[in-house]
Amino acid sequence: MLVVGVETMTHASTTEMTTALNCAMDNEYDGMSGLTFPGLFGLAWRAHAQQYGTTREDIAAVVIKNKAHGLKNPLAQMGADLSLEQVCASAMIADPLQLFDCCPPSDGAAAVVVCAKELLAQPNQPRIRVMASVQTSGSARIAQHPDLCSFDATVSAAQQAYKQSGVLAADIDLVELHDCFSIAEIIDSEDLGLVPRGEGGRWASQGRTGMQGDIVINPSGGLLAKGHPVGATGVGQIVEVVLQLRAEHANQVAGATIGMTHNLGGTGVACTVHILGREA
Amino acid sequence: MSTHTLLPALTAYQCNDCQTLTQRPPMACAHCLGRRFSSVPVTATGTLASWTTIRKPPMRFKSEGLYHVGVFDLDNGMRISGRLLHEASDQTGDRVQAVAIADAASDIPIFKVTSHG
Repeated sequence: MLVVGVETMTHASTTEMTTALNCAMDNEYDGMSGLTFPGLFGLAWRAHAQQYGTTREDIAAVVIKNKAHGLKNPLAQMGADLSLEQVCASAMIADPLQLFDCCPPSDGAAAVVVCAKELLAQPNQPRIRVMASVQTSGSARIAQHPDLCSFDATVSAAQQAYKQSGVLAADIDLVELHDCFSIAEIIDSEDLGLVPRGEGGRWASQGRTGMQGDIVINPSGGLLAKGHPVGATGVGQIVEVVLQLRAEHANQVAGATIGMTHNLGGTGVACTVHILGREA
Repeated sequence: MSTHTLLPALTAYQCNDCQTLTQRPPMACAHCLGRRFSSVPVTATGTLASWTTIRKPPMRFKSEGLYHVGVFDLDNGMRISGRLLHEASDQTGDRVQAVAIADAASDIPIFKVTSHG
């Protein structure tokens, strides 16, 4: 089975793209209020700062890390060597979210082949097994989220994926998660159970989510550095994890045997989580 | 703080079967899948849960320049979103009250902070 994701976005202006992406929002109400997706994560940031004391510096650490990872990934379009000062000096988009906190729009495509193991063309090639594949849904409207610092769809998908695969969060070597905005990586990492609730910002600033950290988050550079061609991002995450588990990635996580992907759509209305494992 | 007339109440929609309140009448109740709703008055006061300033609006709102969107926890326990007349001293947890309906077709309320903390 061939699975393909593809998207083109760079032909449109920022306003046109914001308008198009807003179609994925609840347009009975949230869209009518003038909310945008950067706005949603601006709301989440302020709530996370209030509840857990997360700072601008903590959240900038996510940007600096992912942009640096992107420099090592030839498939990442927007890797960069950024300083805290550069992140903090970038334009305000949806307060307190700034330009470098936002993933760039992008054109892209990705594909994977899924098959029965006896059909593998190269029997000696490392086999990557789909240990869990889960899709969940959540509330479509911002006001129906009782906690602005969490997406129920992610929490539910992660719990089901751990159950399906029989692995624990502590067994995951790396995750490619949906860092559409810097604060999203912090929320996602907590919702997936990879980082203790409320600690996502501090773990990022302490380097615990970097290449030598407790859990490696977005070694590809994530959406922040790769760009976010929306229709291709999910399959692209699978490709990145497969390369890691084959030990063929340009920014290799040493000894990686189990990887996770996480994709989130709309106002947390749809989520997919996969756990992939390298067979011995 | 700017002076605006404070609204005494807002309109919400209540499921006739399970009494769950919602800001807009949905196609079906998210709680029990009921399809009959009644409009009911609800409190226009609450607290500011969070807010943001939209500086890159979609086409529909481009002529407004920048504006503020907030999430509000009403005193009856209902969470709603809408516009905020933002002032620099505003903080999450501040007391808010609705002052107007921005868009009658979609019942988008506009809130302002009435007291801090």
